[in-house]
Amino acid sequence: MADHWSNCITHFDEDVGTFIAEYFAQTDRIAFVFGGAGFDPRATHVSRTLAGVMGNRLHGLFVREERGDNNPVLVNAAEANERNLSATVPNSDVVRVDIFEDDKAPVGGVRVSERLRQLQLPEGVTDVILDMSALSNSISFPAAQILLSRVKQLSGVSFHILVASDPDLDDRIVGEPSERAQAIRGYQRKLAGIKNAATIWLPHLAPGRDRVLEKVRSSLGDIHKICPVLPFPATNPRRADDLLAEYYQQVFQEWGVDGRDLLYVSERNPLDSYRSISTLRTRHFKTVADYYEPELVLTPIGSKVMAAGAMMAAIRHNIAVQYVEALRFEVVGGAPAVQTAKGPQRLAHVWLEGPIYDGYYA
Amino acid sequence: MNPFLRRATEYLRDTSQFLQITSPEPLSVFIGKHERRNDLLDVPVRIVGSPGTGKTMLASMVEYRTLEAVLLEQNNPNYRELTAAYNDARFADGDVPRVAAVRLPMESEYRDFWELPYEGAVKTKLMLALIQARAVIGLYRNLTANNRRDVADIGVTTRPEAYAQVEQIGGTRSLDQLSRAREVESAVYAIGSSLIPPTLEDIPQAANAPYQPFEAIQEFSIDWDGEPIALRPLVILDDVHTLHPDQLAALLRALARREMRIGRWMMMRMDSLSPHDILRSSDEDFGPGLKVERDYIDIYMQNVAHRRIERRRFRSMAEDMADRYLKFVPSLRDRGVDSFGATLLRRAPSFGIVNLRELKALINRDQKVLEITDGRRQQLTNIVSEYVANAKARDLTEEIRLAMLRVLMHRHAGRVSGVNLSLFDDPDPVVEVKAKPDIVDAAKVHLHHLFSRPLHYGLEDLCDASSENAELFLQLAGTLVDKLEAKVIRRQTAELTAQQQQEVLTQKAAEIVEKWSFPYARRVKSLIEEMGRRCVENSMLPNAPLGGGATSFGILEEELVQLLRTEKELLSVLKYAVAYGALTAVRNYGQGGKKWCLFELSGVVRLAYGLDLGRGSFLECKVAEIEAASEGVA
Repeated sequence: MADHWSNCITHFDEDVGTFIAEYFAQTDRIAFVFGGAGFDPRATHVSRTLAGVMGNRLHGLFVREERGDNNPVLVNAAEANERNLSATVPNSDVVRVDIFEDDKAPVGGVRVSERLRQLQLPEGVTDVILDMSALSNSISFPAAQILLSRVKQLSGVSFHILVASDPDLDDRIVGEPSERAQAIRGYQRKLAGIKNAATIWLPHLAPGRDRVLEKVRSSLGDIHKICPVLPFPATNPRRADDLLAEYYQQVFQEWGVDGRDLLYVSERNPLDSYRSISTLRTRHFKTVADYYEPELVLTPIGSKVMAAGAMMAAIRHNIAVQYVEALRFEVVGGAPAVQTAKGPQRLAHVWLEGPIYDGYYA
Repeated sequence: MNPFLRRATEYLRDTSQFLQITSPEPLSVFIGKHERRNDLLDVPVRIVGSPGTGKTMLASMVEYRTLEAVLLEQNNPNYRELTAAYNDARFADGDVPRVAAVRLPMESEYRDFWELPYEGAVKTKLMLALIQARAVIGLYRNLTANNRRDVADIGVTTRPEAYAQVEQIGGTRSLDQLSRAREVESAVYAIGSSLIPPTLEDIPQAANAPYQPFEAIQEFSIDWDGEPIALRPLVILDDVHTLHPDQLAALLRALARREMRIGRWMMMRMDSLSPHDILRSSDEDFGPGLKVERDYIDIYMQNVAHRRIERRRFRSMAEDMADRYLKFVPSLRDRGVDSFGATLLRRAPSFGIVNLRELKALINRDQKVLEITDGRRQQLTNIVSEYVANAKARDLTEEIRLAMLRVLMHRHAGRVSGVNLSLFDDPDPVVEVKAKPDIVDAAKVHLHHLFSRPLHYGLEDLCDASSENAELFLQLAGTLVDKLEAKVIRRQTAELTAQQQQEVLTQKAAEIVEKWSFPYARRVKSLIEEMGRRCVENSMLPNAPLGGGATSFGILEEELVQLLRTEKELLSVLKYAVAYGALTAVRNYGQGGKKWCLFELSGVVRLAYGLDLGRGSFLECKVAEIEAASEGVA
């Protein structure tokens, strides 16, 4: 399956706008977009751009993540985004998804899966778009699997991932971690085999997430190797160095990471992250499979673009994704500004599946 | 790499390394010396402790693979203590194993069953099937882990009356049982982890068919030195608090069935207990039909009932543990540093001439303000000198003596304040002031806050500040080891002065409190901030009415009982504060003819706020005040 993923069609920044303007302007295109309707200022960008080209041919389902304890400033921002999305995409619904159960167990993935199970895609749909810009990974990852499987059941339908990315904003949105680390729904670890497991954990490093990573680390038990993932190349070329300085104690002292095990992936191109993880997996499996049960576990936090690449690798290779749900969010340095006309710093588009690849194996 | 800063469970991969850092003390204390140690394999046992109290270490220590590795290495002198602990706890008889234990971490996937779109009974059945299948697989994996036998070599004795269950588990042959367990595990796991679960009718037969190995299996038999021996199976479910409360209740009910011959232990954090349980308000039973002590046994890993003994026990365990960890720090090992305690100097810190001059000036000012005559001051000085001469403590240096004098002066002034004075009178109080150990404590706290004289130093203080929590101890000790390593690398002595210890510990403690991230952590932090502030205020009263100062808040028992009858959120705040070691609750503390519930600040909070590590001194308080403090509006 999906061997074209390493080389699939991608667009970045202004080219995304051009692609949308040319491709989605075709009048026979009917699209369905699944995205977030939260406080994140990037929530509306993709849908607004699509709706500007497609009008009523765009349908949507937007998720408002409910965490119970919310900062009123962020709630107001979410309300505004919800209103904007409903106005911009009239053929759309906004669903509220409880992220926690009454015992504080994270259930967002389960709830969104239940909702998507009942989803009726619009008649004659040609394109399904996952807009990861303003969705938590616990929502976007299961949604990607379900939407992708729906697309594969239909013929002639394309599946796109779009991310309006702003690495600085990603760094500033900090969640208060909940108590437990767990697998994202649909990305659980595989069953233990007869042989002992040799697990490599790939945590993405992002500012101020040390507690999150510690919780995940504790939940994983016996780990063969830890390969922290760092953004490079990045908009701020010092970002990886800054992260290493911030995490020095945790990464090198507590986890005992070897400096040669750091994994650098592009902050701009999700395929770089996908390819790096895929290559690592192939080599790890080849090396230890005779003696151990090889396993990879991903923990993408921070950059949405890097998370998109990790998600692709997780789907493609059936890799577990372990995370800690956020009880509530705060934005370091104040509430996010309303989306400016200029839009987010970066845009990325991955054309993951569709009839365009029919000739790939020919 | 600093071995103190690695979680103990990270050592689990390498059995010999794990055993080198493991202290057998918890096994002896909590299991070996338990008054019902003979029943611990017959009824379900709940082992309850805060994070870091060593639940997982205890479970890993008794797992069969570890037990066997130790018993086979009787020539290794390091393993003798552990073997003795196994014998105390009835896990071994001499060097022959008697129990085959397996630890099953209860990861979130078990909780996920509660979200499946089925009735409660179906969800519980699926969860139980997965637990039992994994327990069987885990038991066989443990019995074969050290490559001493194959699965086929393991004999199984089933309960004679459990014909039906034996058939469900694949028969009496070990290989068949293992294969059936794998089949059940795979089928049930697929349902629990699916993004789109099957409808009830579509649940595969492998997952739906009855499967009850806990009711069927009685014993395993293996070959040991050419002789057949019987092993009693024990399944330890680690971290059951991750389950939904209803799921946990259903699990306990299922495990309380009397037909089961497999031992069933459940390790849990306090989170999953009710505020009643956490505050030890009564012998509240776990749901209808189950009675503690009759249907299940509770073991608390922090024993509030015998705290003095507990503190002593923890000190010896912590010292033992620290010395074991120290062997893994090459720079210190190469310098022959093998005793952690010896590196933490207990010598009284140097106070300095300038500070001494300022302290004397302060006392002179106080003398003037309090209108104490030179003759009375001399008498109080003599009381202090006499006390110091007879005291066992060797650290009663000049500044301590002066600070004690200051406290006595203020106490004296308080006692004569009601007496009518004429200009030249120096009346005697009805009761003369005395120098006592609590005045020494007060003097140390005062000097700490007024002159930054170290208050917390030495191994005993470090242990006491860890509130009987091994992980916390290692975290604090780890930062001291970092500092020690830095000194050694700079070719200085492998010792930390009191000042250096205090600096490191205060900073680390504040960092730990700042990083609390458990539920209601924000409100707990608000509460602690207010409590800490008021305790410091009390500790700094010059007459030291509570000796070393308040370190707790006391609510009248009747007020607490009333609170427990409500649904107030404050109960959750207190529950998590106690469950995560921010506070310790001491019930029915008698003072002044009344019964109190004390909420003691934990050791790490006291480090951060510069409070005494003693116990029992408290500020009286109302529930409403605590509630306001937790909301940050006090």
